[in-house]
Amino acid sequence: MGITIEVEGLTKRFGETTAVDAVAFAMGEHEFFSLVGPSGCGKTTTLRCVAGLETADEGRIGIKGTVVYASGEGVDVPTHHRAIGMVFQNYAVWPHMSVFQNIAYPLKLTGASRSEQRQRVGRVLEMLGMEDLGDRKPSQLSGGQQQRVALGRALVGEPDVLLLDEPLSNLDAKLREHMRVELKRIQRETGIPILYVTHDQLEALSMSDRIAVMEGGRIHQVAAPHEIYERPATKFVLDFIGSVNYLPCELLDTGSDTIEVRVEGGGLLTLPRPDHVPEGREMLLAVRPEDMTLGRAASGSDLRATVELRSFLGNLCEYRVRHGGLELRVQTEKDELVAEGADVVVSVRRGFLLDRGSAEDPLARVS
Amino acid sequence: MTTLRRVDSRVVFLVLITLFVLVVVVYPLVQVLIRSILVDGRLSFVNYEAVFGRPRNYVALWNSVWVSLAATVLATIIGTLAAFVVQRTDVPFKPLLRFLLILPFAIPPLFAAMGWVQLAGPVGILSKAYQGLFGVTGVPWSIYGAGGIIFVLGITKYPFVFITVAGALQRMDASLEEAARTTGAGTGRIMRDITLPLVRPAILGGALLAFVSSIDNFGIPAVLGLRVQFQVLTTRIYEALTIPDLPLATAMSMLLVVLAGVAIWALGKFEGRRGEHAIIGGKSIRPHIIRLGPARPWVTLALGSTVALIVVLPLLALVVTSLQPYYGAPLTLENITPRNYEAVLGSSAAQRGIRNSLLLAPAAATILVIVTALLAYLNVKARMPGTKLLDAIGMVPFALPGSVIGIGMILAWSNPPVGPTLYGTLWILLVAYLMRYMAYGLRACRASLMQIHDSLEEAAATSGANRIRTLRDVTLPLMRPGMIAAWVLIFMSAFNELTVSVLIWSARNETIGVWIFVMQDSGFAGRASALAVSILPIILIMFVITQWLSAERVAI
Amino acid sequence: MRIECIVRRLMVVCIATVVLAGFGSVLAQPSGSLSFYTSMQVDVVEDIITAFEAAHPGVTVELLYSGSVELEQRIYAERDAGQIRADVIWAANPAFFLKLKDEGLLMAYESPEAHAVPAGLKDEDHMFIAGRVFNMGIGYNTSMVSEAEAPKSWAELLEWGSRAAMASPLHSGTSFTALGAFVQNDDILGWEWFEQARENGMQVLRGTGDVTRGLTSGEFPVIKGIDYVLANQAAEGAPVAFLFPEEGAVTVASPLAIPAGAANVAAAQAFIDYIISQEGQEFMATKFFIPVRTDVDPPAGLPTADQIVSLEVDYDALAAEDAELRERFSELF
Repeated sequence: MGITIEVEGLTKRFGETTAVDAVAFAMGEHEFFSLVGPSGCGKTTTLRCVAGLETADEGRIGIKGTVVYASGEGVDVPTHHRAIGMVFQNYAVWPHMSVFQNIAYPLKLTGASRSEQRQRVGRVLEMLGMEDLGDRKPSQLSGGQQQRVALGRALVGEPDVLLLDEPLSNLDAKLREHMRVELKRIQRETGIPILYVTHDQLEALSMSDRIAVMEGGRIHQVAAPHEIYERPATKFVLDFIGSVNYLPCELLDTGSDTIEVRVEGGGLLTLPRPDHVPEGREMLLAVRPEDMTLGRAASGSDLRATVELRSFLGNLCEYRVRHGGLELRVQTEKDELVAEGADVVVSVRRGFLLDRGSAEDPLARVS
Repeated sequence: MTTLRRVDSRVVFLVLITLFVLVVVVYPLVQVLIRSILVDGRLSFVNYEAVFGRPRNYVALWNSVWVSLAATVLATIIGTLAAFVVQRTDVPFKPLLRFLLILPFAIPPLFAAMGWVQLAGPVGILSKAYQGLFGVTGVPWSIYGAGGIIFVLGITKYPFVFITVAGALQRMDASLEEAARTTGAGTGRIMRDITLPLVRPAILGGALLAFVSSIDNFGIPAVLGLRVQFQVLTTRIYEALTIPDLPLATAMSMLLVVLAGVAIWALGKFEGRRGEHAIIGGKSIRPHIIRLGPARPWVTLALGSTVALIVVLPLLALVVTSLQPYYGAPLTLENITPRNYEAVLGSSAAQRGIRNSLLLAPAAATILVIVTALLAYLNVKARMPGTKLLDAIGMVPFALPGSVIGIGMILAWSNPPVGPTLYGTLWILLVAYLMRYMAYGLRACRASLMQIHDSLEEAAATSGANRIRTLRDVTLPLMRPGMIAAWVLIFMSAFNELTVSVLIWSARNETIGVWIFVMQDSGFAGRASALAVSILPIILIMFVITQWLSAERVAI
Repeated sequence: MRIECIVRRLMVVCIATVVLAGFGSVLAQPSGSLSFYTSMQVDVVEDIITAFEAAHPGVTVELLYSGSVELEQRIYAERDAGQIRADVIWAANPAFFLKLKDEGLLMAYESPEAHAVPAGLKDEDHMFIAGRVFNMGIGYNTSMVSEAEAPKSWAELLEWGSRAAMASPLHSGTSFTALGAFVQNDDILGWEWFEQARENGMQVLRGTGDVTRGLTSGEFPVIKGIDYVLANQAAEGAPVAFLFPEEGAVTVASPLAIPAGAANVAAAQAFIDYIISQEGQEFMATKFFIPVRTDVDPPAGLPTADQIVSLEVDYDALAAEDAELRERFSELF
């Protein structure tokens, strides 16, 4: 598999703060690769360094085998010589040009003939479903249409890689969902590698081939979406991707196949033995809402709780249940309805065990 | 190596612009400064002691400040309201209103003051009408004194605010308003909470121009203040020049520079962080036009009568004067004569004046728009070191009274150490206009650049455009409305510039302003008015062309 | 200092003589362009230029008009910058010419026409010569004030309080001369007159033009006015008239001079010759100026130069006290 973008030891400081701290990753040939994290995590700065819009302080960036930035060798290829296409959060569609002129601009710069421009812009417009809108001014378009123009402009020159900076965050929910599918479809059709920046984990999970979760200028984990979800490497990743309940508990017994924990406020749980057992006794048991079930009784659990709220979500049902001082969020199949106010026993299918004292340790997967 | 080359082209521009600022602004300024601190070849502050040694000067200083502030408030209210109504509501006759609203630029302030004396002075047309209507002698107002000065300054300086605010409203990202509308906020609330804060930089920018141009105005306080012994700094400077005490005059001018400096600095503080200015995002949404509904005729009437009062009436006074055989002749049919027009348009000097002004004003406007757009770009976008300072220096001449600029020009260009002797040629007028109006270009270009979001330029870079192409294809076209506004401002101001030109023109190098003034000064108010009226069509044509140019491609 | 001054004057005279001798042969036919600075009314000047150019087809006159104060500012600024760029200056304030003469900035020229001009109207060293005479007296609006009601003296003018107006000496050259004349005649007028005027509320306007407009429009029934200006207005139909005050008018002999180092001396001299020639002065009379020649009749209704009752003016003293007078006036008003 060829490598599209290779980033090594990338560091960027703004005054005192280090926005990007020794970031490294490599993107595959047709990969949809996302940088995801909360705002200020350094994802956008990383993307802008790849684009050449920011100059990094240290590190090395290669695009399709060409080094475009290397701090040690003084290499810094200007943005317009990097074979990239980019889509900005606020679209950055030029208001003084028509849709056609916007999209044709990269071609015009390469000196493509007018007929070639017409042909290639026509293809892009068709792909975007905007065949009839070529003569419109951006001010006559909806937000989603403008975003598609921006995408078309980034695609038309067939760049080595497409850089997308939170492209969907300004769209309304419905349109965002639609564009997610659209983007993925376009990526599959063109095979163009995409480096995608978003703070929306759902966006990242649904579209990406692989995801890099960032925080504080550093990458916590790079993996495929299901892997990130199923096997988060750190507590931060666990927290940031999907939702999770934390049950403070005490590790009582470690058997060969199972372990036993006592949840704060009473209630013993017997769980499969994790891949490794953290040292110490004060633990946190992290469980995703869908990994719990509610029943009258359950083997291996006497964790009792009361159903306080039930929300019907269509495909499933979400409960808020109370166990002493703990409020848990539980999602179950819709055919196992439990009434509000009912006393239930909560059983845990799988989760992650971590030492309450040292949150930085790798997570122990219980399943 | 690539890094080096990238910086190069901008450094070349920076060097060229620095040279321009040095030659056009710094060199004459230094000449003026030297006069104020060099006494008999030695450094001395006696002139400044003379300025501060007299209570009269403190009074004049204080008068300058408070009168200009009051006039600025008036100008800001008129300019902002007019811009909102014309730009964002469905009032009828918009192009006509727009034209009339910037017309005061076409009339030298001195004439505005005289027009108002003619309208509202002791024997003015309005005063006589009032007396006739109420059967009284005297009127409950006086055009002479602080009140009259504030009024006339306010209604001649408001176009500064109008033009900048209207421009900002035109370029504003309406989605921000849309967002507020979805929260159920009413139109008034949106204007107050969203739109007003967004165009605040433009309002402040326009207000600053109005303030500084009020504080350096001479014609209006000279006509309306001197009579009642109401002195401001510029009239004191004029007196010092007539004594003649050039060093004292230059020392007082330095006070004006300090005042203007404070105003510019204060504006910088107000403007705050750059991010607030990125009004043109990448999203383009047509601004929402407020339907006035049943209020439409009333708003139209209010705006119409305001325009009639502050724009049309003084112009009518000018027309009336131009048709009278002598100033103040009774308004009867027999007293209408084309004699003034025949005399003034038949004179070869006036013809040359029109020709010269038609050369000088567009030349000055074009050069300044190019230079200041580049400087603003290097300052706002490229953030090159030293450009902030150049920008500040470029603003200084704006605070100088015209007569001081004129004297600086004579001192600088009669016997320059290097280069041609510009004094006695048409070129010195061009250089003087470049100095005097640089600030107009700087403010307008800066404001319009600050409103262009960085991502629009970055999108060009990622499309493969180098810096020059980006500038040509994206930045410049987006700056165009702002640049055109600056061009119009400079053109109109330079077209009948008076104070500086009167000091530095030479035979065969007359300008329109000079000739109007000469006529006025030598007693021919009728001919002066006739000439002023005759150039209105030229200004009308320029206006139509620029309107068409700015509307043609940018359909924001 | 005195000696320095004399030396300087001598030098100028020597240079002038050398220049004159050198160009003597060329003097016969002046040509080229003539730079002419004046504060006189433009329409008068334009007509004179037309007539002069007809008489000397080789010369083009380049006219630079400016209000008297601006003209003085310009000439001082040019002096500071090294060279006055005029070939001929014709302005209203004789004291200004005395100052220029004192600084050695003028060139002597004795015109062949000068014999017809009385000694009082020309400089003894031939540095300048009057080209026209006019008076400042009392102007009144005839539709508001009858001849009988009009003030007959400067003292009576004060009684009109704020309904009377005058031009600021800080702007108008003639008004400055009037200020000097009043102050120097302090037995009858003096600073007291101005102090009283201030007390009574007399209006001080910027320039002569403003005062005249105030009179024609009826804002002021009476003013300190200038004879030829009002006569021209009256000819246009304005209801104005002029009278000579009892104490004496301020009579201004408006000087013509050639700056030292002028570029086109021959043309400058031809120009002065033309102005004070019989033909030139007859033309001036049509514009309501009193001729400087004894052999040309004054305009109808006006006295000849030697018949006018004038306030005595010591221009040397006026030139010396120039700055103080302006200062004190600006303190007063």
